[in-house]
Amino acid sequence: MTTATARRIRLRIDPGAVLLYLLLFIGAFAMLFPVLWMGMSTFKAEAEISQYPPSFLPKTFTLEPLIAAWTKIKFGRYFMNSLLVTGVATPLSVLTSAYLGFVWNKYDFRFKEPMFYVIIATMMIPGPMLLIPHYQVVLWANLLNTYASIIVPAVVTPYGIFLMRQFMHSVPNELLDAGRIDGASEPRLFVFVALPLVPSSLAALGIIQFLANWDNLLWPLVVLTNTAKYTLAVGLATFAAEYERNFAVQNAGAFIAVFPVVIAFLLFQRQIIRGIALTGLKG
Amino acid sequence: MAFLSRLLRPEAASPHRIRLAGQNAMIAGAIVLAAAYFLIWTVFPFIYTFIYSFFDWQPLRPTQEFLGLDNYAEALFKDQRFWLAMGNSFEFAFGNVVLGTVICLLVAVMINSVKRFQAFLRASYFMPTVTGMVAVALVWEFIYQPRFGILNTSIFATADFLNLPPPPEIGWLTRPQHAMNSLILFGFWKFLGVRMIILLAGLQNIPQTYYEAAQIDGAGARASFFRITLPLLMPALSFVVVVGVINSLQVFVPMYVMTAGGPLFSTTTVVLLLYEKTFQLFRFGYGAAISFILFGIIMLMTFVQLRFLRSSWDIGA
Repeated sequence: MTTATARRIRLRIDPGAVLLYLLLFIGAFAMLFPVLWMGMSTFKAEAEISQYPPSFLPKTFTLEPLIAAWTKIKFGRYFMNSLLVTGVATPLSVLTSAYLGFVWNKYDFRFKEPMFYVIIATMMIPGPMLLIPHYQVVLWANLLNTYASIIVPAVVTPYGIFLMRQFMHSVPNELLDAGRIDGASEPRLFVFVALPLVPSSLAALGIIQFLANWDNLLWPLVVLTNTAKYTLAVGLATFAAEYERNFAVQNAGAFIAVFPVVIAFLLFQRQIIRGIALTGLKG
Repeated sequence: MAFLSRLLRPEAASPHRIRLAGQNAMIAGAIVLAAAYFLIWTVFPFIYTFIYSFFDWQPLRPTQEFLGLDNYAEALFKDQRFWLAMGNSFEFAFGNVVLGTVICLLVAVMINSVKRFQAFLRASYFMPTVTGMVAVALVWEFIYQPRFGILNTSIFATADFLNLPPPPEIGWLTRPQHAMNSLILFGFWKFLGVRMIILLAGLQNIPQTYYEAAQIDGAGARASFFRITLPLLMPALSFVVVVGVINSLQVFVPMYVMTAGGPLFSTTTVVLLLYEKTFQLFRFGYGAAISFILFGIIMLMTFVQLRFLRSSWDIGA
């Protein structure tokens, strides 16, 4: 009998187990609380947000802050910008990662390993350090204030290449060889044999990249000066930094930014959690 | 192209693999794509930053003055704010990594040991990870608000309930002595999930037979934890620590959103300072020097940790 199962059997009677569950649930509540609080506050009127004693559930349900955030401060526009940037960059980056990961896993070529180590090493360079030359590159390419300046750099990611190279191990070489004997071309093998075998890895990477793009602040803040092009993260940050504080509207804006991602998380939570756990360990 | 075709020759070490017709195109495509991206977006910017860290580089001027090591000297010896910011970055990194890892390890071990609700608990602790950093930083700022933030109003309500005299308003983000700690708490909440998932995966990789053998030898729960769990978890644990240090030394968003580096400079980190010098004061050269010093420190920290943790990387990795 393992200690784990021994502990599980003892759970029924052990007061320690009750304490364990109690601690874990208090912790879980503390982790969920800020997001729940934000959700509740979104449907409260401005006056109720600052009232004492505080109430958890909205006493009078109102959509006013949400509507104000969506229209007055152009959060609607920012949301669509974020959706556009994230929606284009994420699938492309998953595709390039899968392609490069496939090549680095399944083929032999000169300097394959050294090149791979260089790719991994670039993950260690702190992002902000290259901000200035990145800005310069975008300036030369005449892409300042464009969606492309956010999308193009996000299309290839060392992290994604690393992840997909690890996942491509699970595609059997024999299957690829069988395809070759049947006369399938190499791109066909990649698209119709390899990719369908790793759907959950693609989903996990997709979600990780989606979150990274959706959450990206520093880079869009630097290249975007035209407020019409702002993404949600930039819009929220500048709103909070510049305007007279209206916590109700600000909170509603945060809600707009967080809500779709939390829904996506609930839908794909198994893949997300597995994807992140795998990147952490199989190095 | 000659260089590319030389690259495409199979490795001498694996002559048994036959290169088929379509493979060259696939490999060439991948190398061109990777090279284009990394040369333009990583290698060139890296060299560019390095060169311009020796100039008084201001983008609006027609010519740039060569300064030698002056930018580095200014940061290291003249600019007191640089060292204050460095101290703040390290304070955040220390709090974030130590508190984050120790409590996270406890949470992971606890979740791993329960039988029911494991999926729910895992998802709950992971939830903050998927929320947008800017958005939740704003939510926490709202929670920390001294007069009507829920943290202080809960304290007031508790005092009311117990008939205690009303406690003072605590300026979680507005008092220099509290601000950094409040940000560390926020970081703990935000980053717990990723760390926990990595540690949980590590815990689940430990073969149950080890615990069975230990139990036969009469080891208790504590001995099992310190002699089996902890050593075998070291690869995952050291990954969490090393990546945690790298990431938290680069932290930017929470400070930018919640405190803007204040009050009294108490939460200005190196990256925030770098951002201000570069994109608000347009001192690109000085910003480049600061970023190279930060890069050197992060590399050094990573190197020292990897040396220090080397034996633990190898076990079971």
